[in-house]
Amino acid sequence: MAWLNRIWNTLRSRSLESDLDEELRLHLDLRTRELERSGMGQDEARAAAARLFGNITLETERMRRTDIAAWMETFFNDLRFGVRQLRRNRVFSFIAILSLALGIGANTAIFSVMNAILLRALPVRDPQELVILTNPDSAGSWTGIGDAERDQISYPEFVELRERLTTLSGLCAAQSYSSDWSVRIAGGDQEPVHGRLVSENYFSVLGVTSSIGRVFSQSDEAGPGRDPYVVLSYDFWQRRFVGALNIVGTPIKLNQAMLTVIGVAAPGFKGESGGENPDLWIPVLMQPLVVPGQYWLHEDAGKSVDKRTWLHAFGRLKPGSTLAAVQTEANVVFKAMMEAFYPPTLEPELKKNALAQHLVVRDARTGAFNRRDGLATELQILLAVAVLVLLIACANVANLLLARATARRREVGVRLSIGASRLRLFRQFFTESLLLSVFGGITGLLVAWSGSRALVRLLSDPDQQLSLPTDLDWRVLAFTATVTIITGILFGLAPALGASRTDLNISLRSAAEGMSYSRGRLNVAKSLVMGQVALSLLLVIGAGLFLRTLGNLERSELGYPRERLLQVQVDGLTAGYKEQGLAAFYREVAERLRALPGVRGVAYSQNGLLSGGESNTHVQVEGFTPQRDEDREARFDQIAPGYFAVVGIPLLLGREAGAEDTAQSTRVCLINEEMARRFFAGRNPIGMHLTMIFNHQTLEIVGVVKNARSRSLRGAIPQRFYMLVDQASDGKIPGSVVFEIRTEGDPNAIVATVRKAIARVNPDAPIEAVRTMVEAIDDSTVFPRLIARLSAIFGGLALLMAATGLYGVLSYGVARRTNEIGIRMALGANRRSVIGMILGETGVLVAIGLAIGFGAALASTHFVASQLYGLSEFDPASFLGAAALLAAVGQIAGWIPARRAARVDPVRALRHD
Amino acid sequence: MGKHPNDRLQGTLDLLVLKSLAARGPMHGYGITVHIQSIAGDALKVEEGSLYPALHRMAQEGWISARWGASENNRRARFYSITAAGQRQLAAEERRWVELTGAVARVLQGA
Repeated sequence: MAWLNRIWNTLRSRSLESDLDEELRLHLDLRTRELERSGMGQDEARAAAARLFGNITLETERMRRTDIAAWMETFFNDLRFGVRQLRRNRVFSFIAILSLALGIGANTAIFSVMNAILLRALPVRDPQELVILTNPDSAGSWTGIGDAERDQISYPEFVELRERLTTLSGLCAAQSYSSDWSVRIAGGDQEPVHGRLVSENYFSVLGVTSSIGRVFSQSDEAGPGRDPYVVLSYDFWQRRFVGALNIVGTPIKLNQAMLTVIGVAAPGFKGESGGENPDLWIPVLMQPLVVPGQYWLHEDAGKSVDKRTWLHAFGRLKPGSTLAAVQTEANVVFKAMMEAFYPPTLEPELKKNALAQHLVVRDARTGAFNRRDGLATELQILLAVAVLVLLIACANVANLLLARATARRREVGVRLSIGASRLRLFRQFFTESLLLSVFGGITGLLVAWSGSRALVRLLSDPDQQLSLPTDLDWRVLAFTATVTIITGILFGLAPALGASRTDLNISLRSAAEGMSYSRGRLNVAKSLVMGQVALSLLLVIGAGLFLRTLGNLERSELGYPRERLLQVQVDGLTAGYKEQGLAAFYREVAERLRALPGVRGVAYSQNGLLSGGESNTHVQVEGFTPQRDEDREARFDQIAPGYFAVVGIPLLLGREAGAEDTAQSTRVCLINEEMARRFFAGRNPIGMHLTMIFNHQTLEIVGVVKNARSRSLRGAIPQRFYMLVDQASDGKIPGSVVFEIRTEGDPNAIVATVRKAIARVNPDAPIEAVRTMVEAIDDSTVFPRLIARLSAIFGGLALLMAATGLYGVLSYGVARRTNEIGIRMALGANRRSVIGMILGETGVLVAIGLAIGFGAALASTHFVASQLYGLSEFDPASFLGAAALLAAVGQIAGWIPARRAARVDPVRALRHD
Repeated sequence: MGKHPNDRLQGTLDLLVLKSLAARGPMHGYGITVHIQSIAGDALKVEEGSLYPALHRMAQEGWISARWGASENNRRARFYSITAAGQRQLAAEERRWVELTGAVARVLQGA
């Protein structure tokens, strides 16, 4: 490696510079002496020797170009010089590095979260071999016929696939959502944990070992309710047991299951799903004891339509096997199952749906993550915003550099005149820019380090903390390095080119004469400012759209009053109630709550309001022939008598369901306006009947209520009917209900008494969620609020930078034209016309920038259309408001230089050189 | 890093320097100029400024080696001497030069 040698030589010897000097000096001296001998005078001889030699600087430069080591030496010299320059202009350096750090830091923080969600592989053996047969971006537990692409599978389906698939070396299953459980550890008090039920072969298929004790395996499978083991996560072991070694054998009671700790999983393993940090894993066969009253294991295949699909299935590819091979084989097995798994009496329409179900096999190296889709969209928006901010920061730094280059043009002139090449000057200026961006990048990493943690906290669900490994891995560092270098090139190019193109003759003359020379530079600066205005407009429009969306969501018409409403979810099934006992339990709790002081009314329903629960079913409506699939389905809820009066949903027709509607009387229901419109256009729905297809239950419609938002703040309100909990058929009484409590005053004030009242009915009944309606709305607007806030902050930052950019360019322009302004005023222009002139110029700059920004915004806002609510992506208020704001900021930024221009004293100005 | 504008001449300069060093043994830069000029006379002018970049480059190619020594007036001077690789390079350059001048001569006669 010759070049290594060269570098070594340079480092070892004294610096190239001085060696070279010495060599050349010797040459000149010897030549001079010879010329003197031939009769020349001393000075004459020296001059002649120099002439013979040619341009020393130029030759030195040429010499450097042939040498990597010299190249590096030049680089280090430039670097030293650059650092000196930065230290000389502390304020400039501080502002430049700070704005770059914010820009680069924001981008890095967002990228590191994206990296953790979308790119990082699970910490398991050979993650690239993992595939998932279910939808990794979905989670839940469902019954009924699934969508065409199955999101989850049932336990019998899993067992069948596990036995039959030959393209996989192993297939394991995990509960697709994480459960919050209340456990007693070693006979202690109830404490909350979260975890999942997973198949017995879960750890062996994933290739995860234990750090102490052992993990459960296929050989532990003994049958439903007979695998009473628990494996703890490493973090939980450290947190709860302080890493004690004697925890193997510790008993844990969870609902009806008596479990024993058998070991702790390897450190770093946080399960198969991203964003979570589970405490423990339990064998799937323990489900009947962990979720009492429900049996999700071996349903009577072929008899019922209601399949419980709740599992994700992860497989490991056999060597040589491919995703496509697994996909084909899995669907052959799955299709055969679908044909056998549904009763022959199934209606043809439903049969078609059932057979359309299939599996899609995907790469699973990054694991499952049910919020991946949503978070990816949110992060992409944030990343786009952060990139815009970084571009604006680049334009700002470029402008600062341009202004400084003007101050340095004499230096540049001198360098050129003594023989520095333009390339050399370009390099030096460019090194300075890169130095700035590298400082910006390093500071940006600090910003990112704290920013990514803050972002993860902000992106967390209200009830569940997101756990993401956002440490700076190689991908993040590579991203930051790339962004840093691109940033340096972006803002360094214009000033470096400008410097290397300096006109030697003009720059060495006086500043006044240098005017014409700066015009080109000012034009670059003006273009940059226009670009900043355009980009800022984009950001401010975006911020406007998101803020107005948030406002619309928060003010959105629910269909009932949101104030003084408390919701409490109570689980009767876990408390041990069954069937009619459950219904009686709910009635009794409601009765107790009604008696509390400060309570105006109490009702309950299965799904509650904005609590996330929802039910959907196939219906047949009397006198209505369905044309489309949407006409066969309806949402529904099971409610208590008095529900509409308590919640405040107005009754439009007929009557509310009341105490007279009992388990023995005719089954009744109420429908919402939308359902009436869809199924009973022009007919009176009262007294008509609807039938739920799956359980052949027929309900008589007794009332119509106004549309109300009970599930989502967005979108159209779907057709919905309400039936009574008390009239539910056996097995359909909800295992938990949400009590809606109307209060006299602040609902938070009675939370404690409500809890006590419920505990008096049954101290073991888990109270799962206690939220006021206002909190529920806040919770469901967490992400719109996050995006609105961050885009408003970034928009403000952009405005500030655009304003300083504008101010800088205008001030510079005014200073440069002091002379001209003096002449104008001497010739009779008054102050007002001078101010008008400067503001007019500002106006032109801003107007052009706004026009560009408008175009860009019109072309790009449809990307965020899905995130907006209650306004068009071309919302005039956001567009015009943003434009007005920028125009105002532009005028303020222009006002100060304009005032300064107007105060010019003509006499002084004319003397000003 | 663009190429030196007159590569043709650079090649010639390399040849002259290598030949001088092969003939006279170690010399410093000024000595090389003087040697070439003393043989070639005024017809061939070594551009002195280009000499040092050329020496530097050849040292990097490994054709010549450089070490510090004392000049005739006892000042520190860098002495260059030809290496084995330089000898090979010299032979190749000489061959090329003969071919080139021969070809040019044939063209001139033919015209």
